[in-house]
Amino acid sequence: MIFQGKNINNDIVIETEVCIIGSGAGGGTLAKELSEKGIKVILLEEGSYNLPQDFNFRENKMIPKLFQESGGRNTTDMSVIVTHGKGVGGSTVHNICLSFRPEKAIIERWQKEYKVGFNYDDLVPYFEKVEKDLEIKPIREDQINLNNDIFRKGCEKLGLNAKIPNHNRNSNCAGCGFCELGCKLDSKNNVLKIYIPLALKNGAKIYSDCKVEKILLDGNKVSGVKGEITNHETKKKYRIFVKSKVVVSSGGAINTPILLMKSGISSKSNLIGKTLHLHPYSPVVGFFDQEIQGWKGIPQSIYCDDFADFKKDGYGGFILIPGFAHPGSSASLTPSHGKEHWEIMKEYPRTAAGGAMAHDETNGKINVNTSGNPEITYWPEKSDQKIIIDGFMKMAEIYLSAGAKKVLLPFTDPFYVKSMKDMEGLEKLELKPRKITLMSVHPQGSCRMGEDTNNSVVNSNCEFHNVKGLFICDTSVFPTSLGTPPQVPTMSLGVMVAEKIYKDKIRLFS
Amino acid sequence: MSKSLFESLIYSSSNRRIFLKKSFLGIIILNTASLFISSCSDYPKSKNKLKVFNNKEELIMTHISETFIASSETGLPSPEQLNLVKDIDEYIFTVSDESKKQLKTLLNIFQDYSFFFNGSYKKFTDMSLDEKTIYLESWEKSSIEFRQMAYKALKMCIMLIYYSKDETWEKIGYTGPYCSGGK
Repeated sequence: MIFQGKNINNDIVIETEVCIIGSGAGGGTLAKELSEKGIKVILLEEGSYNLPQDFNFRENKMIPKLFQESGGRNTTDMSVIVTHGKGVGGSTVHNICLSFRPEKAIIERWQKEYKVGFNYDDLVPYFEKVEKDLEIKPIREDQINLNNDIFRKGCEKLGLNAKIPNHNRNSNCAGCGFCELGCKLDSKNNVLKIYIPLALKNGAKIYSDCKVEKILLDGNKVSGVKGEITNHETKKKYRIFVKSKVVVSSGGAINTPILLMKSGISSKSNLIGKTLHLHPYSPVVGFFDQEIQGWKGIPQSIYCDDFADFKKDGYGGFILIPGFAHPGSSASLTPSHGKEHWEIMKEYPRTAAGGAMAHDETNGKINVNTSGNPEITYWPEKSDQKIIIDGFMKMAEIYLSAGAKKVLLPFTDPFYVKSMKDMEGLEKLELKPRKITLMSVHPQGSCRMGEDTNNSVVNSNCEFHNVKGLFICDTSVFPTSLGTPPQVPTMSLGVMVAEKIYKDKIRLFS
Repeated sequence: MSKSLFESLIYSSSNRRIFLKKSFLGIIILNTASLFISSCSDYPKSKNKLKVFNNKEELIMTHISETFIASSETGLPSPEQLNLVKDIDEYIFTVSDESKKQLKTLLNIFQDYSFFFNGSYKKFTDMSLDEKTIYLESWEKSSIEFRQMAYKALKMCIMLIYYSKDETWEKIGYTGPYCSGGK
């Protein structure tokens, strides 16, 4: 059963076996898996419960509904835009359906450096389960739009391997191109469509519009959570108290450390919120003579991982991937203002857009400010800056090879290049905050896992080293950045954590 | 580029680093002072029923939007014509109370402290479009962190909401939602 804030008119006190905070890739999958095993689950979600008919293609309406802080979250110095999801289904509702397994070299690095107690092969059954549940498969050739095809042509001219990624979309997909604003055609096999209905069918209870304020402890074990449910129709707020011997934080790599800090929970390693990775993405725009209308069609249907060094040893590199935004989001990222801004915007239908996503090593930090909101500190260290620069230069080269008249680099002062010569010397540039556009759609790693209590927050089962029954099941636990989109790894984590909790239920529920 | 009086003071201060670090505190101090300069009642009453902005903030936001869009130079529909400020108000209503307060503070500073930032005796809304553009660019190019941040925050919000409006789409050749139920 799902209880939406608009139907709540009283305080709630309730008891369960497992209380999950956050209903995205980690929490939503976990709720389905645990409830399927007969465990009593309560799932609390800060955002609202939306159905396909609620998605109206409007940026000004959907961004506030589907993104934390209405899409306006940034690092504290506003140098990196940090977007992550809100609402039942979390980021799986607004993502582009990219479904990558993590690279084997990344998992091997986790084992070697962080003493993580599983190997890649141990994870394969979880990947397979998620891939089957979500019908994950490659995009069809006829679903590749012009924006992606131009990128592919550019890659091919340079002898690079342009690949077709796996997606979790079904046959309803009409290629309308509004994936990031929620799918009105219900063509995403995401947490909202697949796992939430199954969790409900299995008896899980979901409370939306419910903000958890504190995880409660009884000595060194967890005892429940408390929070507030908002009835947005009456504007009234009600208290909620959930008594539970197992609590799982699945609020994502920004909200999980914030909740732990607000709850006064610390780690022996002192690493809560201190090892944040952001996968910084730097957007590049190519200007062409032909009409591209990049907003039509599946936004990301080709990628290139020829420069993903992390595939070899777990370190460095970037992936290149197109990404075209609708006008509001595009305009907000376009450099300058007034006439200069307009000169770029009027070419909108004839532009191709994409960027490089860096596999970063930088450790950002998250703290709670005096208002109780996240304070995110992150600026790429020198080696990551080099990866970012190499990435956007390569993207520019691809567009030039594809026939672009000129390419706009991701600087906040318009910087056009017409040939490779125009980029000479850029590789030595030192990036400055707010002088380059950097975005993060995959925050991760802020409460990393491992078996060394001095170097990690949770163990390899994602349970806190020093708090019995307290788990984390979201991108926070990844010991390094993945380098690739985290949807499948996070859902697989949900399957794995469910199995671990179930196997350990006598200890946990006694 | 010559620095404004305010920036020169900041730069000559041995406490510059502390000020930059605590720039938000600086904003609060300035804003508290700004309340003594012009109050909301000095501004025309709004025709809109707004949830966040008062009359003064509505007017400032309208003028800032116009400066960002420069409709007289670009031929784009003017923010006033589109009643953009009402949509911005709707959007800002959805952000945290902390962000709302910061934005309101910023608008007041933007309006009342042009002398300190740019040496202008005119309030922002009394400037010509050229003067407004120069003033806006002084925020964009400023070496003070909070001014750069303010420019970026205002721009992201205004551009997002402006280009979300149907009336702007034809101008940029955007066909809009075409799946059924898109309108």
